[in-house]
Amino acid sequence: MRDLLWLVPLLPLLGVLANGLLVGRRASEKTVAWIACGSSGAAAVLALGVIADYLRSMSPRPFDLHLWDWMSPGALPTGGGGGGPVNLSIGFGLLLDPLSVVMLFVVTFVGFWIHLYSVGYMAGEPGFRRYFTYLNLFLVAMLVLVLGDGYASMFLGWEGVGLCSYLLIGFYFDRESAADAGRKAFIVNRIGDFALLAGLFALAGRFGTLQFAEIGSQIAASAEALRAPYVLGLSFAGFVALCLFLGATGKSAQIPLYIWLPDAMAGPTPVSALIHAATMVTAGVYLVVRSNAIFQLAPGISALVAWVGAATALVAAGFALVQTDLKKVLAYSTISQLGYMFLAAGLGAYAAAIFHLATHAFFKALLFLAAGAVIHALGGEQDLRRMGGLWTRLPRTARAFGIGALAIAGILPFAGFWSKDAILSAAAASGSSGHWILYAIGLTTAGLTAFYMFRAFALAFLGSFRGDPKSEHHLHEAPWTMALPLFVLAVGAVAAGWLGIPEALGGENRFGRFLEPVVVKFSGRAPAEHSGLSQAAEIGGMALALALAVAAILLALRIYRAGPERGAAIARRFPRLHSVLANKAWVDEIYDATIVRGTWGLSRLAAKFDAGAIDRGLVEGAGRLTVFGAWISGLFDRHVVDGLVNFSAWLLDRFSRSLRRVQTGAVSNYAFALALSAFVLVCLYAVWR
Amino acid sequence: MPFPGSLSPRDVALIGPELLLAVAGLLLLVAGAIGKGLQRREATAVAGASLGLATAVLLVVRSVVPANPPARLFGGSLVLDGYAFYWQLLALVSVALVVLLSSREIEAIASRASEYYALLLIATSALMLMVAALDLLTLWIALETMALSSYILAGIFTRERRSNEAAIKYFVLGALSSAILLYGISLLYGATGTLELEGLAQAMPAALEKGSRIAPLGGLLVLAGLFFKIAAAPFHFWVPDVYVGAPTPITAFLASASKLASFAVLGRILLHAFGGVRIEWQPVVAGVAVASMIWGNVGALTQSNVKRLLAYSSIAHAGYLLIGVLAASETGLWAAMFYAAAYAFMTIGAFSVVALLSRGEYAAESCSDYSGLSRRSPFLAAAMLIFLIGLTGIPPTGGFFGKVFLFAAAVEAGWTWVAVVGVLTSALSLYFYFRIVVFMYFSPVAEPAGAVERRGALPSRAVSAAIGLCAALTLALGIFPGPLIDLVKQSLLALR
Amino acid sequence: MFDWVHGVPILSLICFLPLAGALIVIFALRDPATIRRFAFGVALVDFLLSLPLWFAFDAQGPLFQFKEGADWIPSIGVRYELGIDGIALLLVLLTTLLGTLAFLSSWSAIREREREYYTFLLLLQTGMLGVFCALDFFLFYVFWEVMLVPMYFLIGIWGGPRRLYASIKFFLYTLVGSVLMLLGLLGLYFWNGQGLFGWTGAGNTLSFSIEQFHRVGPAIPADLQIWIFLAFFVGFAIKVPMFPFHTWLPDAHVEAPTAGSVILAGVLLKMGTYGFVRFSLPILPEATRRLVPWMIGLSIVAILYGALCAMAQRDMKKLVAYSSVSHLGFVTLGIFALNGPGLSGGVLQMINHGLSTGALFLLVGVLYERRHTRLIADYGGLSAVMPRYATIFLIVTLASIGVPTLNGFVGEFTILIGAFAKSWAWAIAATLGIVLGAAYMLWMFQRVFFGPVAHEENRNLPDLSRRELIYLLPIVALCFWIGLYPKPFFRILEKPVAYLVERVAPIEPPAVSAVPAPAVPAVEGR
Repeated sequence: MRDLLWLVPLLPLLGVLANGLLVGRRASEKTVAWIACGSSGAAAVLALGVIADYLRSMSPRPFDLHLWDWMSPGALPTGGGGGGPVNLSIGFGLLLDPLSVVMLFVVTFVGFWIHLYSVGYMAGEPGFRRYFTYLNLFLVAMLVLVLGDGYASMFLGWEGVGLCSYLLIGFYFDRESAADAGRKAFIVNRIGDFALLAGLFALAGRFGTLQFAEIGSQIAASAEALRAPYVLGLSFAGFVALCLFLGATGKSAQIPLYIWLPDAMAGPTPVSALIHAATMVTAGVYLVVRSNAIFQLAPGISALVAWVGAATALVAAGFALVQTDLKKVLAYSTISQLGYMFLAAGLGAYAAAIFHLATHAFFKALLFLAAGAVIHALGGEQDLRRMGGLWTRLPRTARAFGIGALAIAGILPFAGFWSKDAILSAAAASGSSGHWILYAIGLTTAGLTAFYMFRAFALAFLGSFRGDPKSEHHLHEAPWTMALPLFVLAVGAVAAGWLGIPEALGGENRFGRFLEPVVVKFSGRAPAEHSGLSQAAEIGGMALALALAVAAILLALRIYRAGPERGAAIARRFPRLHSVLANKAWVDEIYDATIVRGTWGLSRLAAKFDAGAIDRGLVEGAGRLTVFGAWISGLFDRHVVDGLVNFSAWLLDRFSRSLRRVQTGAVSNYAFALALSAFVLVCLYAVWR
Repeated sequence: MPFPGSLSPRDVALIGPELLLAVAGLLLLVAGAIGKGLQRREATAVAGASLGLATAVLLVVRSVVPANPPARLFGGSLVLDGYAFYWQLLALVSVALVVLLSSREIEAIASRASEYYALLLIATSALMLMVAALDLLTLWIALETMALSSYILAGIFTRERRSNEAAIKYFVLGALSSAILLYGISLLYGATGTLELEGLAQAMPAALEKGSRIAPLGGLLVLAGLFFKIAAAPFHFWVPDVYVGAPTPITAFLASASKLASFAVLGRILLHAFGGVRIEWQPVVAGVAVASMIWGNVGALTQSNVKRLLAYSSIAHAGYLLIGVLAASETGLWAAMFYAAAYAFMTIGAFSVVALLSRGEYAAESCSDYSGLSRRSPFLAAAMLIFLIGLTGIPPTGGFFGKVFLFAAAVEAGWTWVAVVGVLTSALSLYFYFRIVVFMYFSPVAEPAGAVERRGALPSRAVSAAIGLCAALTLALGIFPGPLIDLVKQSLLALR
Repeated sequence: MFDWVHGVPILSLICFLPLAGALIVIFALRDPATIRRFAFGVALVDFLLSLPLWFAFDAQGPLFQFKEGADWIPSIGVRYELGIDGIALLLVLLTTLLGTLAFLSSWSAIREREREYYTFLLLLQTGMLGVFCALDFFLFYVFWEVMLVPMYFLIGIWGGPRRLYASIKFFLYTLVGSVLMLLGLLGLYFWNGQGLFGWTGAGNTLSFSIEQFHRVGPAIPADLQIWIFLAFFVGFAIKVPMFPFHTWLPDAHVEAPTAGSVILAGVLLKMGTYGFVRFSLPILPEATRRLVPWMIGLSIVAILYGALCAMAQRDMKKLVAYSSVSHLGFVTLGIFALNGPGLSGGVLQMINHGLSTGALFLLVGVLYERRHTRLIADYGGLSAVMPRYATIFLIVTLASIGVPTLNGFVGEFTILIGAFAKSWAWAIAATLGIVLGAAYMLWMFQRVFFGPVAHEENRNLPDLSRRELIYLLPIVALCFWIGLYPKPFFRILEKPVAYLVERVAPIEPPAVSAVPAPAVPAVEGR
């Protein structure tokens, strides 16, 4: 069964081809929808089959399905930094191991339901077929990303998802803003990829391959050599880890490259749910966990990862507090949650990171889809201040959103509680310096999360309807294609966490155990997977987090149940803080003023320089010089020749006129002739002697 | 050294070609004088026939006399070596082409056609003696004969003012240069006591050993005179005006046959008579060569008159030819000889096109006269294109190989910097040669009033034939240069 | 099934078929339509003739295959010798393919003086093919220069408003380069023969045989090597064009007719890089090693500088032209990394650039034919109007900014691996070019295809016609092929690249280099 792994990404690809090329422009939405959902559904089912097969014979050895040799560009004299000559060969294949199993499940499962949801959501859109072509294509790319058996294959998916996100953000391409957002996303991602590529070059140069398996074994073999100083005062491992992490910050919207994600909300909401919440943006976390061996060898970089993650989590949560656009709130919360995952990964709690990734996929997708349903019902309205009172009008949607909110807020027994707890206890237990600060940040963020989520919840569903009355009376619940995914994901948002109930509560943390083989064990240093906390401390921690969340929720409801006014009043009391948050600390503006404008200026400068200095200056300058020379020589010839003309004129005279004028003329002209020959001799001697 | 009085019939027979031409020339003169004279066509026919005959005789003579050691005539004042043979052949061919292209040009002076051809033939026979001369006196006499007849030819269009002007300038400066040359010869004689090249070959090094100032001065003056004849800078001042003023066929003659014969003489003197003291003259020649290449090409940049432009280009090409002598090596010499042939065909071809386009008083000299030529008569344009490409030195033309060989000789002999100047200037020359191309191909047909009559299909089979021949030869030399190279090389064997 | 290829002088056929076609066009044909069809037919047949090479070429066989030879000018040792190695094979195929497509693209674009047009186009084909097939340096040089003339006319007659300036600039610029190259060649020639003023030669019989030069090259004293290298460098660098010598390119590209730009970008520029791998590296290894830092430096400048210039352009063709400068910077970077990945990536990138940039020019041409403007500002929102066109344009754009699954990625990725192995700093500097590349290409794409339809006259532009699809789709297919399964190409390049590396930067035994690398790997090639 698992041999059919290759079929999983192939099915949606067929969908792409079918929708993109075969069915004509006049294909009915029904056909298109069937093809798209059919292919992704089939992929999901097949994936389940493959996973089941893999789990049944839970072999410790991962299953690597090598498809073809991709690049074999010959030998390197010496690996990019030590190492002997290596013969470079880069293959393309798919890999099945616990990590990719988890990702595979998340991607196909969530992916399919969002396809289904889109059928309802996008109904009647002009670009219906284009939309589903892109969405299938995204699924393909994402599957390649998580299943790829090497960095090269992964990078293929990595760029692929970036491309699809570019296309889908800019789906409404006739809106400048959408097009801009798409380009911004792609280019910011490219900046990350730039670092990631550098990492890959280093790896390829050092190991001659980019296959996870081989690199893993080689690293295990030469751990010490990799710690030796390499460049920029980093060890080889450190360098690579840094590059990979920078790449991850691009894809997963972490500081400093998070700015593209909020703008990405310009895309259709299901896209935001699938790409910018559940799957693509988590690729960075996946990358770090996938490369945990390297990160373990680079403790410094790991610490960096943790701190960046924590900082992002806190800052993004702060921004989310004041957003008035429902989708923006969710976007920032996504950034913040991703920060959580990096925090865990940085602390070496790789399983916890993936665990949160999985649960987050469910409840964040749920939240987005619910939000989408709301926006759909309100005819495109996204502003929280113009919502309200929808609890009664959109009961299903409201409940779904509520479940999602509880889950993300970390309320027992919803999914978010367990994964968040795993991270917090990891922070508390980790031996790294300053881990208490990290723990504190995590806790605070948890509180903020709970607060802003229920702020949004209250503004959207409680109180009285503040939108324009026209749209009020044709409010309608979503069709079943949208409702069903909501329901399914809601179930997931509740139950997904139960896979990872920690020992402390009598569970046996199945999730963590399942992922253990992924995490490389170096002799001597045990990864901080199992928290060294006493059971009591752990339960205490949970209680604390829970209490905080509940308190935050109650507070949020109290302030916002009636509407945004009280919140605004509070904001007015802290104007400075509020403006910082509302303007997202002007980060976009700063980037724009420095990097963007800088590049543009530079490019204009270059263009001017090229046209002016090099072309006109050097090239045409040389030309002008020659022409000038021509003019000079022409002048000279003229004058000498004029002399001759006079001379001949005189000669003519001589044969006709009187003798007197002869001599004078003769003298002068012979003088000239002699002068000529003298000149000749002089220059000859000059050259000669 | 006394001249041996006895004229052996063998010697007389062996200079058959030259004699034949001279006699033909004189006959033409007479025939032109008596009665109403010869018609244009007849004169042309006679001239062509005698040239063909001369060529035949030349070939016969070659086949009978042993090439090695070369036969000496008149007590060693003439030699029939391969070198002379090659240049004589080249002269005959190019003059023949000139005759072809004259046939229509001289309709303006139809009455004096025979005189025209007579002078041409006499000049030719002088050329042929010139390149075979082994002592300076014979050489000077031949040179003068050639020069005098070409002065008259330059001014043969007595009705055209420019023509007269040109003739007079040419005459005055020509006379001056001949004087300088003669003066140099006498100085040399004074310093070494001989006029024979062999004699000089031994005497010069000795004279310089003795630190004689006269000998080098004499040598320099001789060179100066010859530089003038081959129109090398800075002795080129006469060239632009004369080339523009003279009738196009005569310009072609001056630019090809006369220039090349003078070059042949220069080569013989430098490499044979002054062969032992090349270190002394090489800097001078290098200077002149570089000067000519730069001056000629740069000067041409701003010209809009085609004949003037070609005049400057011929100055430049004198410079390229000099590279061959400068190298003072076998490679250099045969490269120069090869290039001379290629150059002759390209130049005559180019001037033929000018001639074909001009008609009566109207001379197709400004670039704009060529606008849209590619559409009016594509093959004429194509031919001109071939000539211009060749003059620039781009394959597949003889000009390309010629230049390559010359630069090769320079590099081989260590005159790399001269070669660098050479390649750069020839790249530069592209600019002005292709100005004409631009008019021919890029600009639309511009028909000034009444131009149609002048410009319509031009009925001259002879000139078209000349153009066709030149184009064919230029391409042939560019695609299969082998045969000519072999001919040149074995004609040099004798010189060893 | 392709053994017959070895029986016939296949390369001569391929090289001179277009010439024969040109002669027929000149002398035999009159009616434009006939000429058009005939010329296209010739190009197509030429392409079909060249296809068997791909199958009959033995990647494990001798370096140069399909060799033929005959005396040309025995007295100076010039021979007519043809033969191709893997590198030349790919370039020949690229030439015949792009040539065919170029003919197809001129179908309706060229409506005046067809006879001359197709004559020159065919002559151009012969010239370029000859350059890649020649195994005699002199023959190579002849083709190298001959080819300038038809290109000059293509730009000068059928070009845009500033065509006179552009055409003569192109001609002069490249001619200066090639004549200096000629001097280098002559130095090589004499050294191989009797020797050259300062230097005593190898004393072989005088010849221009490239293989002969390969044999004796490494023995040339270092200082002479450097002189010759510089002479070659001028010629090749202008053709590529490398950084300070690139200013002819934008003008030529902008003014040239579509087919001209396609061939210019697709093939002509490759002649420079081809020159480096065929002559500079193997014949002058010592000089190459010494000058590597300069070459790499120029390449990186070209990459970044070209990208920056491209970003500021308003004219699509100009933008693509500058992007060519940037992309060829990658090629030279790979070549002068002097290791397997760098070189094979570099050569592959030549092909990739030929395909993607060729396609870009074809696409711009399609638009120009409809609207007679190339200013980006005159478009906008075209995806709504011409969806098929937009899709293909997007694919090609992605190919040229190196998105995986498309050819550009494979090339750049391997090049940069090679460069990184040489010096991480260089590689990183060059990688910045990829980011910029994405920036300017997508910026153009957005301004042309996204947003509302700004200009009324664009509102009902016809989408791609069948003919246009026919000449665009093959390129797209190739882009995917090379992007996903480049193995056959790498296999063909394996031997020549190994040969080059072994000559210019032999790999030392692992024992020496088993130690961790120094903080900054030495710059000189070892």
